[in-house]
Amino acid sequence: MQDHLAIEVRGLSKRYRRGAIGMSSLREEVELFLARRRDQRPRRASREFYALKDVTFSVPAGSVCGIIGRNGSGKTTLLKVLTSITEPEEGEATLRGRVGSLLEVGAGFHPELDGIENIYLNGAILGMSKSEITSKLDRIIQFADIGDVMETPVKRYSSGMYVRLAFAIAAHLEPDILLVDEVLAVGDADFQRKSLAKMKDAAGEGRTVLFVSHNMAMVRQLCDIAVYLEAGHLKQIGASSSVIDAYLLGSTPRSTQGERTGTDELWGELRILEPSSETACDHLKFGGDYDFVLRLGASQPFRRGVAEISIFDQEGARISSLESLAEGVDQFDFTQPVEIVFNVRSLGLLPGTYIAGFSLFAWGEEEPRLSVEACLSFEVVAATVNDAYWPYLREYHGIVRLSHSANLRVPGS
Amino acid sequence: MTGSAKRITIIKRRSGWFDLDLRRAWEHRDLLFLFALRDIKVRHKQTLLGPGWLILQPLVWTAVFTVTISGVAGVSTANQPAPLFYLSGLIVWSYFSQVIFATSLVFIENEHLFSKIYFPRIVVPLSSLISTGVALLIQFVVVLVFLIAFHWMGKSDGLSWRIVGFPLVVLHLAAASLATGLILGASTAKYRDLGFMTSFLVQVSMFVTPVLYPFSAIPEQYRVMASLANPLAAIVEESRWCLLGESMLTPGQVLASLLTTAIALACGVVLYQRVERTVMDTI
Repeated sequence: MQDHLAIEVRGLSKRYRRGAIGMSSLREEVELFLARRRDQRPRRASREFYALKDVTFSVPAGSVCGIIGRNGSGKTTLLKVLTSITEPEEGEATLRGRVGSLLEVGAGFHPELDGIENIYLNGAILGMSKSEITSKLDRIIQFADIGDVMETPVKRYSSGMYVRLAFAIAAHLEPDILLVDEVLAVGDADFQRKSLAKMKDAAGEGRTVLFVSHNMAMVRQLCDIAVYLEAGHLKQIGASSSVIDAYLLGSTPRSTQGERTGTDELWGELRILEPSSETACDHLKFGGDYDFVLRLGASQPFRRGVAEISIFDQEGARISSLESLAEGVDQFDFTQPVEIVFNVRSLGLLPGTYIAGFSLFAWGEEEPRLSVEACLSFEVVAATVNDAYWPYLREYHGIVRLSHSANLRVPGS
Repeated sequence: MTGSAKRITIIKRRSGWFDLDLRRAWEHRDLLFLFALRDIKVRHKQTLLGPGWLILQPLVWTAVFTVTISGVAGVSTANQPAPLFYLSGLIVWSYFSQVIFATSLVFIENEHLFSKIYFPRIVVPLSSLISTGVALLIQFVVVLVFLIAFHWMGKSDGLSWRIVGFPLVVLHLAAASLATGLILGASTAKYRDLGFMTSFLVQVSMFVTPVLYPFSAIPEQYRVMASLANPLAAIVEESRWCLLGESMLTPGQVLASLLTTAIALACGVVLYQRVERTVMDTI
């Protein structure tokens, strides 16, 4: 027995019927049966596909493992099999320890019941006993931090409050193995950070977390190892940062120029970090300090690189650009992945939604070798500058605040 | 956290016919009561009479039957005051119909929950046995009040020692209701057209079960057969045996009903646990 492995998956396969999601009626079933009797090919057999095919991997206890892959690559199916929601067709998985799962926050909340009642109900659905919930009740309410609404039916909660309460319950489940789907995408930035910290704590205490996400920055930050699924097959498993690099190489759209020359295999990934904590964020404070980090990699040596980040508003108008060459990064050569950090100080974009993309040029060429137009969307939230009463807002103040200050003087004196 | 004390979960395709995960079901016993509590609370939120409906419904039916079936049509009530006769049968039948309605929709109504989190699915039907049981308890008290009132008016023998047998009748009733519910629930999850069958079945059960007429109206040689075919028939009679004292019930009929109940329950559990393994792929 390999006790140090929390999760062992051996040869797991699962088939689905394509298109036939939804129940068959008895009549259809009878028709199919008659068709088989007449020795015809059953119509539906051809529509079957493997959502998981012969997937084998293991996760050591105490680690955080990310599951990445494109939509339909089998990530969620894997999670549903591991949580017993559905059965695998072949293969086997062994989970050592108490298993908790969080495929959706607040599944099992009843809108008519109040906060406390839902804590008990949801906690019990997740697998806690009543006495366990009672002992954790105060901590759950404190973690959720939604004020004095525990006696109110949850149907009157805002969606943010709903998510906070739901995650607070799940975070206090304290299982040995926690299986999480992309649930942190909801909730505001502060709460996301708190939830991530809670998940990291979980791993620190010898617990194991398996974590499905599309957010590469989050996986890189949170996970020690990553599993890369492609069309139901296991493509790669290993240290999260190298698996993510491989995934990005396989999925980042390349520029036409790059493809035409056929020599360079390039990829890039853009993240926005808070300089102090190095945490990735997509809710930025107006006037705050942020680092835009562009990570670039190539399978062939790349010479004399120049990088540019473009920021667009929601209508697609270019608002601003961040330039490596103009801001002090000389033309650079690389083969190993490199990161170019653009330090944005006192963010001047007014509150709203923005989309960022990037381009990589070889110096002296007009066309970019790699260009990704919209790879990151972020939100700027309102905040005041200089402790002023008035916040800057898009409706009244335009799109950008120019870096400036103001003073009063009387001419001629 | 020691390695040896850790629980190990093995996930693979199960193939057994009777492969119940009783350990996990036992661990979720608190959930059983919380679901029951939820159902009770939610059922009566934002209603005018709240639990009053539980009392009103059988009383109205009893009044209607007393006037029409007994009064106008003149159907026998086995020498019992008509209200007592109908009430003692109605509470049994309404428990049965409510449980099978709730259980037949288990997979469809909980689709969202079941596709997001696993817990032993049998917990949901079991919890509806409890929440409907609370309704039955309230109705049972109403019957007791009627019994005492009719005794006071000198029209009935009143309570007898037989009433202590009523909990056993409830167990028998719960088993039969669960069995029917599980079979219907498993089938409607796979073939939605069978959903229409439930309400049809409930209506039919009202007439093929001696709720509106005495069991003694069935010719004696067919009574065991009737109990075998419709276990509920004997259960209604068991209820009258406990509450009203007078009844044509024989041990043979009870055994026949228990036999069918047991077989149906076994079938129901097997079907239900086979469906629950993969139903979320197709629902």
